[in-house]
Parts: sequence; structure tokens; C-alpha cells
Amino acid sequence: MAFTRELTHVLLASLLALMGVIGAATYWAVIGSDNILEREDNPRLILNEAAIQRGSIYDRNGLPLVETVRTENGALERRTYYEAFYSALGYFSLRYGVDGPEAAFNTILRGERLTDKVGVRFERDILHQPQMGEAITLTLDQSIQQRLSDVMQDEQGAAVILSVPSGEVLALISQPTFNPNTLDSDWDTLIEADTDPFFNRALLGQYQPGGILQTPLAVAAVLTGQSFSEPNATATQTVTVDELMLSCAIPPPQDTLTLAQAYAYGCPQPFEQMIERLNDNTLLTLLGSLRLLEPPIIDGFGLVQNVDATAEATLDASVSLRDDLLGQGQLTVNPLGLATLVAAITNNGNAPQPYMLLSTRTPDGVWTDEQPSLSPIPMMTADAAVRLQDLMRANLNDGVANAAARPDLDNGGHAAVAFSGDSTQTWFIGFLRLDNEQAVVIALVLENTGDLNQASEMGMAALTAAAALDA
Amino acid sequence: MDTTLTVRPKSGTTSDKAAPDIQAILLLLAGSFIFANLLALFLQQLQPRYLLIGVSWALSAYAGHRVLKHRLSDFGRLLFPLVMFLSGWGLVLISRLEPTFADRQAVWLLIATGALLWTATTPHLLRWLRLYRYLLLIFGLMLLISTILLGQNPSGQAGAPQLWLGFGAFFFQPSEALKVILVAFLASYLSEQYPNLRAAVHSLEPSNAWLSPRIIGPVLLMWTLSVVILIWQRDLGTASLFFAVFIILLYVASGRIMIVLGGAILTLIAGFVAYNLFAVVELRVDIWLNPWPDADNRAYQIVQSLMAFGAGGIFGQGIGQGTPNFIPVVHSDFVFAALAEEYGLLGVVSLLSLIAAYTARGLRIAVLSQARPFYSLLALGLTMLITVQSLLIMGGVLKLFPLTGVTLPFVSYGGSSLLMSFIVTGLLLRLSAEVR
Repeated sequence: MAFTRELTHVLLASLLALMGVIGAATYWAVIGSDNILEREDNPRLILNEAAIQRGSIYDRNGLPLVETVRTENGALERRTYYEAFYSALGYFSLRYGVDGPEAAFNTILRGERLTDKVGVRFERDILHQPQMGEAITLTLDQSIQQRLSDVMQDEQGAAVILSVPSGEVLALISQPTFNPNTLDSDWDTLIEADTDPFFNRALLGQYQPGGILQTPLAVAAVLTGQSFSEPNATATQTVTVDELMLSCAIPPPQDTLTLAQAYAYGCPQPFEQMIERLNDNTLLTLLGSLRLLEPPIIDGFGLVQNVDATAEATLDASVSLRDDLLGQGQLTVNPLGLATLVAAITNNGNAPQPYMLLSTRTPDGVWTDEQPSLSPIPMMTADAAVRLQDLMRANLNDGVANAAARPDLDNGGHAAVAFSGDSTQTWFIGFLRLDNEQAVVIALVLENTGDLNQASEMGMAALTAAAALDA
Repeated sequence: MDTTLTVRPKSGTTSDKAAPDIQAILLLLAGSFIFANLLALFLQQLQPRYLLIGVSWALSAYAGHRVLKHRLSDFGRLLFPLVMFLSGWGLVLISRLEPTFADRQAVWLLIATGALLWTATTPHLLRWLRLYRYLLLIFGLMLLISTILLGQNPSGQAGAPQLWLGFGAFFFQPSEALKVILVAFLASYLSEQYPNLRAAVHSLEPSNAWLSPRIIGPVLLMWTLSVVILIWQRDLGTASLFFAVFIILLYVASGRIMIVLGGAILTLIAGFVAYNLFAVVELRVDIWLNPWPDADNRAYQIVQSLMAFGAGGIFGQGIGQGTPNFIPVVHSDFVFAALAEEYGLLGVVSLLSLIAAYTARGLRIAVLSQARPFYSLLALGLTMLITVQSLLIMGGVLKLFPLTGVTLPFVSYGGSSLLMSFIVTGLLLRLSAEVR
């Protein structure tokens, strides 16, 4: 036949070409699909994200705090129910991403952990069922959070309440904050705000410590065998840091004070003397063991708290160690870090590591308890911890934190003022013991105020509520 | 797999009558697939349009089956179900992508089916094509000139290729008709010239065989025609298709593989010149070579197309469940990408299997028609029109080569394209009936 050979060649070439098309389609559909689908300019990413039914967030008692609901037009919407939780829970936005616990537990909430399960992969990849996330139960308590929010009112600042010895974060607040339910529409205003509402002061804020550093210095004094009962005739004298003159936080009844009394009245001079007496290296080692140079990270919050930004600070002993330890140098501290220090004081010297995730629930309803991955860190001896508890109890009698006194409760605290440029911050740290083993602790900082009584009253009011509920 | 095309003994009419009605069975299978998909769309959006479109398809399929069964005693039982499957799948996709266009496409399907049946059942049509080939060629060239002079674009978009002739609300793309006319002309010309061609080739040294004026003359003529189309109409797709089909026809007629190599060289030369002269060609080549830096702008369409393949994966998102509308003009040039997203790699392989079956069937007709070279070359040319056009657009959509802007035969939206693809199939059915 005239054309048989050529027609056979044409057929072969056509089939080869068609197979080439199949090969190219296989490449883009299977081999190269991840690369191309993960491109930032893939509009499907947003749609896929919008189709994910993120898991709910519950408080420790099973109360829903955040849920994904379907609106009337069929779209999924993330709703945070309690205003008190706005700063504690962060946000999820298709446009602006995630932050706070929404970011820390993003993998769980999106259901990414479930992709290892064959059944889930089959449902997603083959049946194209919408991706369902896992629900999470947090250590946060709605009642305590609400109480903390109530006492903070509109004050600018932050506070953290921890449960001892577990390290559970019972409440966490940072003000001013934002409404995650209207984030997209408010974004431009929020991002321009001078008060930086997106900055979580409780987790990330590094504040001038001021006199609150007298608590870790008191720990150093106990650990180095300093006398707390030896009278000091110059205890009430002022101390100068640059042009700043530091004096007692509240007027003491007499000029001669012991170190314990100086701590109670917030007088810096005895602590300055102690700093000068002790070796620089000794002081730096003590500060290191109290983790003040390396603020703690809530378990799982590594990315949220940005480990790089909170990496260990370095202090130059030859230049400013005195100023630093008097609370008016380069050293800054974080509310969560101070709460952990108080937790160590309350817990025989062992600092529980803060965590927030209690349990998770798969879309088909199976609950799993989550174990914290971090162990308590020894910060001081048990004797030193007991001594500090006593000192902090004394502060509430007629000392700097006497506004926090609750005669019928076993509690202690410390309040102090710090000066940063033109602004003043007020600290309160405290504990409230529930029994021999259990306690709740708080670290609270108020910006733009020097009112020790206000901070002490607010701190202990929140702590009392926490104690009542945590018990 | 034995891919050698051999002439099989003619099957007896008696055994054919006793055999099950393959065409009806295949049409039922195709119909099941199409109606299942239309039902899925209907359930998703509750628009009766989808059911009406299904009725239009069913009417076409039923009419085609009845007419072909009764008017042709022996015919290609596979071809008609194949094209109904492909066009039905196209209707499903267009319904899902651009529902308002699907109504028009459904009307075009009815018209195209009528044209197919007329073509397949007109006894003297093939003889007319051969006898009046010059008249046809003149008509085709007049169509081309009229498009160059009076061409419009239905979108009315400034700068868009003016490839259509408009009659009120009705637009027709003459290049679609020109394809068939040119193939018929070339088949007729080559069927008469092929003995001379082969003699001329064999009289020269093998290395100089391609220099024969009988070969190089027509090649340069077609090349020139393709370049004219490219220059005046900026229609890279049609120009590429003409030239590729012509080279295949000339290769089969002359038996010299050098023809194909020479054609490839001429294509590269034309491509290089066009790249430097025409912005549209430069753009298509640039985004073919590296679309990623311009993925949000000039290369948006091709990048979205590739993303559609990725999103579809192996099993696809399911009809109506993907997001192929991110691809501009997805219902026309990029319907293949939409199919990939919603039916996955399995759908792509299925579609390519259907096109492969169409190609094999068409080439089988060409083999069986070798006693009449015109019929054989015409079957080859018509089959290659469908196959090469499919390869051009599928390869373009997959970034195998630059986008040419042609439609995927039977599947893409476009009345002219659907009509001419059905006429091509009608001619193949006619050829099949003639030879068996």
C-alpha cells in the first residue's frame, strides 16, 4: 500500500505527542503541584484557607471562646465571644494572618496534624471534603479572665496570672488591644495607633523594672547570706542613677532600717550597698539563674513570642550593672518572666514553665489530653523561697503593697515604680496561697501611672478571684 | 503494542447486523457521564438551564444515531459517539464556567450535528471536493482576504485579533472553514501529484531529495500562506496548524522524512522572525520561556492554568468544586486546564484517550482508503486538523510550547470551531462509508 508506512509513522508520532501531553500534565498535577500551589500569588490559597473550618477554642471549663461559624452567605467566619479575651486569644484573619494562641496552635486548629491519618487524607484529597481543624481547650479561665479585665478597666498595661505548681496560664491581658471580630475593617487604624494594640505586652513587653528588681535582689541577698536584720542608718538615703534620684517608694517610719524593712518600704540604698559588696560575676550568675535575662516562653509559643527578640540579654558589668540592678539601667523585664519568678518563690524555688494547651479534640469528637513539654526550672533553694514568701507577706502589712492586704488570706506581694524616659510604670507581683502546695501568682504592670496602691489593689483583686475559682 | 496500520478484511454486513449496536451503547455511556455531571451542576445551583442543555445534547445524539444508522449502511461506529462524548463534556464545562455561553453552545451543537449528518450522508460530496478544488481554494482565499479587510472581534476589545466576520449578532471565524478547504485542496493536489513527487524524490540523490521543485514549491507556498495569516491576522494558532498539517500531508505523499525536518527548520525561522517583528508572538514566547517573573500580569493566564493542574491533582476537585475561573477566557482557550482542575489527571488521561481514539480511527480510515489516494490523504488531513489542533492548545496550556490561541476541538466554547469540527467528522464518516 502506498502510504501505510508513513501513516503508521504519523500515528506513532501522534500517540507519542499525546503521551508527552500526559507526561506534562502528570508533572504539573502530581510532581510539581506543591511548588506551584504554594506560590504566594496563588489565589486558591486564600480560598482554601477560607474553606478550612478552624477548630474552636474553649476555656478550661469547656466554655467556647472562639468558634468558626457559617454566615448567611455561606462563608466561614471566626468569632471571638468575650471582649475580655481579645488580647489573650490573638486573631485569625484571611488577610492578615494569625497571632497569639491562634498562631501558636495554628497547626492544630487548621487540622494539619490530622493529615497523617489515612482516613483524613482520603476525605481531603480524594473526596475533597473541607479541611476540619481540631478544637483546643486552653488553661485560660473565662471567669478569672473576666475579673482581670474588669480590674484593669481601661488602663494601659499587662498582666499574667499563673497557677502554681502546674504553670497553667489562667489569665493574660494586654491593653490596649483590638477586636478580632472586626480586625479586617479596623486594621489600618490599629496599625497606625501610637499605643500599638497588636503588641502583646504580657508576652513580649520588655519594661523598665525599677524597684521591682528588689525582689530578685532580695533572693540574691538570701542566697549570699546577707543579713536582713542588721540596722542600716543610711537606708533611707536617695540613690542617684544618671540624673534620676531614687528614694523609698513609701515613707518609712524611721531612718534606720533593716534590709527586710528596706524591701518593704522600697528603699533602694541598702540594695545599692549590697550590689557594691557583691562580686559582679556573682550577681550576674544569680540573675541568670532567676531567668531575668531570658524571659520564659509559653509552651508552644516559640514563634509567637519570637525567640530571637527575647533572646538572652547581655549586661555589661563594667558599665552599668549597678544601674541595671537598681532597675533603671539597660535591663528590662517581662510580665510573664516576673510571674514565673514569683511562681518559683511560691513553689519551693522551682519555676513551673507556663503553658496554655490542656487538650485537643478531633473533628469526630475524640478528646486527647496534651502534656506540657517543659519541666520546672530550679531557680533558688527552698529555704530562700520560703524566706522570700515571708518578706513578700510583710510587704502587705504596712509596706509598698499594703493595698493588696487581705487579712484572712495567705498572700504576699511587692509593688514598685519604674521610670522610663518621661513615663512611669507601676509594677505589682504577688501570690495567693491556696494550700501547702497550690497557689496562684500574678505579675501586673500599669503604664503611665505611679500609683502603687492602684496596682496593688488591682493585682490582688484579680488574684483573689483567681484563687477562689482555681480552688 | 502493535501500532502498524494494516488493512483488515472487510467485515460482513450480516455479522454487523447481528452484532450489538455499539454506537447506541457508546452514546448511552457518554450520555450517562454527561447527564450525571449536568445533574451535579443542577443540584449545586438549581438552574433548569443545565437540564435544557442536556436535552439539547440528547436530541443531537438521538438524531445523529438514527440518521447515521438508517442512512449509512456501514459507518464508523466509534466516531460519532466519540465526538458526542467530547462535545457533551465541553457543554458540561462551559455550563459550569460560563452558563450564559452554554445556551449558545447548545444551539451550535444542534446546528453542528445537522451539518455533520448532511456531510456524512451526502453521496457526492467527496467527488465535489475533488472536482471543484480550485473553486474551493479561491473561495477560501476570498474568505481569508475578507477577514483581513472586514475582520472583527466579538468582544469589541481594542487590539484583539480581528478573526471573525460579523453578521449582526452572529459571528463566524472563516479560518475554521479555510482549514477544511485547504486540507481538501491539498489532498486533491497531492493525490494527483504524489507519484510524480515520489519519482522526483527518487531521481535525486537522497541527500538532495528535498530540493526537488515539486516538493520545495508547495512547501514554500504554504509557508508563505501561513506567514501571511500570521502577519495580517496575528493568528499564530491557525498559521501553525496550517503549516503542520500541510507538512504531514506532504510527508505522507512524498515518503521523505526530510520534509518534516525542513518544515521544522522553516517553522523555527518563521518563529524567530515573528518573535522579532510581532509583539503578540514575542509575548507568547517570553511567557512560555519564563512566566514566573510576570505571573501576576502578562503570564497570569498560563500560570493560573498550571496552578489549575496542580489543584486538580490526580482525581480532580469535582465538577463545580474547583476554581478554574481564575484563568481568564477559561471557557475557550483554557478549557483543558478547567477540565484538569475539576476532573484531575484521570480526566486529562480520559480526554487524551478519546482524542487518541479519534486519531487512530481517522488514520485507520486513511489506511483503508489507500486504493483512492485522495480519500486517504483527505482522511489523514482531516484527522490531523483535529489532532494537531488539540496538541497545540493542550501543549500551550501545559507550557510545552508557546500558546497559539486555538480552541480544543469539540470541547472549547466557539460555534465556528464546533461546526467545523463536526463537519470534519462528517467527512470522515463519509470517507469511512465510502471505503467499507
